[in-house]
Amino acid sequence: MIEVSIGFAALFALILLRLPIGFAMALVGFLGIGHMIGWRPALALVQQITFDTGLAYELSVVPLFVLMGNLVARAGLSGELYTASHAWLGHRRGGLAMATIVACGGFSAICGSSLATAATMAKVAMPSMRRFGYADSLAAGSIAAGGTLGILIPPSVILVLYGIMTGSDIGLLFAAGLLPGLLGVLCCIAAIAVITRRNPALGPSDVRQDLAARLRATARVWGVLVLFAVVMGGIYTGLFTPTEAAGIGAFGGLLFAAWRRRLSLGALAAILTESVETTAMLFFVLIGALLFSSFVNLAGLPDALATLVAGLDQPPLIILGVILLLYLVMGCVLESLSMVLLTLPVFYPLVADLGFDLIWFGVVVVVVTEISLITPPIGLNVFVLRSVLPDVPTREIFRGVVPFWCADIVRLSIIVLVPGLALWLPALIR
Amino acid sequence: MSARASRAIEVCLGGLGGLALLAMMAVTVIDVAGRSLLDRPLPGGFELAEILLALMIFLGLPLVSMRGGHVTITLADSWFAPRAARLRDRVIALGCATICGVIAWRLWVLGDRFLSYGDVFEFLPLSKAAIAFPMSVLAAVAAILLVVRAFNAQDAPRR
Repeated sequence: MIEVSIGFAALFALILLRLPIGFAMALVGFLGIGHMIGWRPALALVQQITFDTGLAYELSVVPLFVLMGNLVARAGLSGELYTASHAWLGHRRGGLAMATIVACGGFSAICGSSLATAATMAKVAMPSMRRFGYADSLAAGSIAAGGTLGILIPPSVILVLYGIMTGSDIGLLFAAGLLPGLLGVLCCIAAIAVITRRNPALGPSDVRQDLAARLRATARVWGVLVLFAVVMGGIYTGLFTPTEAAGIGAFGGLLFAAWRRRLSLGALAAILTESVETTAMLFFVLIGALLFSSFVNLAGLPDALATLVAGLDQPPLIILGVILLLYLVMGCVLESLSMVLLTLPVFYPLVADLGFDLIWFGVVVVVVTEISLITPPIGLNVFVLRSVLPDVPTREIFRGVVPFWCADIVRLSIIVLVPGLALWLPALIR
Repeated sequence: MSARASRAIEVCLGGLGGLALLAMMAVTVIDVAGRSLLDRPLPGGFELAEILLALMIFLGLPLVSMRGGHVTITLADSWFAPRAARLRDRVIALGCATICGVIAWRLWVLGDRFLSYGDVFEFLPLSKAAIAFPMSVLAAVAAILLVVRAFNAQDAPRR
């Protein structure tokens, strides 16, 4: 076990020294494995993991979902989502922020990444909230928080990776994410209602739109609905697998962008290159995490933890609570994807041992990850906003995020205590 | 490295990677359409997707490395004075170059082994070495670009 402690210490030191996370995990994992079973097998493992991960068919969803999100954003569907939710909610106090949350939720249904959701919605929602005199903290906070929905409402890159790492059914995971995602939308809206009631100046209301205008605006979001229906419908009718759904979705996004005449050759090239780079970045985190987790497994950490927990003789829910607390703490310092990849091999056998449903645990892990995306000091969504909105100070965004963070904790508790919320839809399908 | 050279690398690798991604999408669409409409799936479609995925990732690796685009944590950045930070970034770039170099070396060894054992894909009449060698070369390109980056003082690190 001493090896694991040294390994984790070295990993954090290297990460703080700004060695890229994937490379740090790969290096420590490699050295650890070499130390434990010899350098020849360790080197053999390097080539095996790199080659096999590169050629893993299930992982083809990652670039294709990334591409789909980029194409859909280019097609302008995000703007229509915002216009529609604005028509229904804009007249309320804090209504534009509520509309942002709903639009984020809608965009999440066709985008598998939180960062992409936040970045896309920032460009659409921020100018309009500014125009109506919304406080920067509330405006940016709602975008950062709404953006996190991207990885819970299907499709979701993180749920796919979870499914692959734990051998769970990705279709069921997607179904399980839907209701908790909608609950997330409701919780965020409630948070906005509470803060704007206390201080109405934060989010002034717009004029009420009549029903005809609302319906007109709503009718324009059919593109999003069609795409979502095709991707999810195809998965659940068995027309194609979740892996193939990503390819179909990307193709749908391409058709939309082309049909809307938003797709010059240059724009397409830029979108493709961007998607390739994002994918390469994700894969080298993944490869590093796989090497590191081989080391952690080899050193016997999962077994040791299981023994430790068994010795504690506490009810499973308490142990789960401790695990979640650990996630929240790690979320302060780790980037979300690496956190999931790093912890899953350790925690998931333990959680399975305790008798929890692994589909449900997937949703719980994603919700915790969502929280980590807006937790200071390393809330990646906040930094994405910083790069899109350079004139809003980080401190201001974090201040705006606090109420949403609290709402997320409430939601996490509900999902943990009422597993049926996540498991009802999968049970219908299963 | 001159802006021109890096632009050329970007266009070349990014273009090929983008084509691989488009092809991956096309393979899926053709496979699904063929299977459900004509009852004739694309033989070896998933294998083709795998190969394209591997090539795409490794085409992206030099691009991401060249501009320092890997996921890093900036939590401790304020601990370093500007000069120390520059030194740190050089050492880090060299470290990453070494890791990419090792990956390149091991993939080459793997390719050699595929060749000598005559390992081919299940459906496609193609030696696995034909994929392992390009992956190895691209990892080596990433290593070289990282070394260049380490010795390129003006290159300020991006997010």
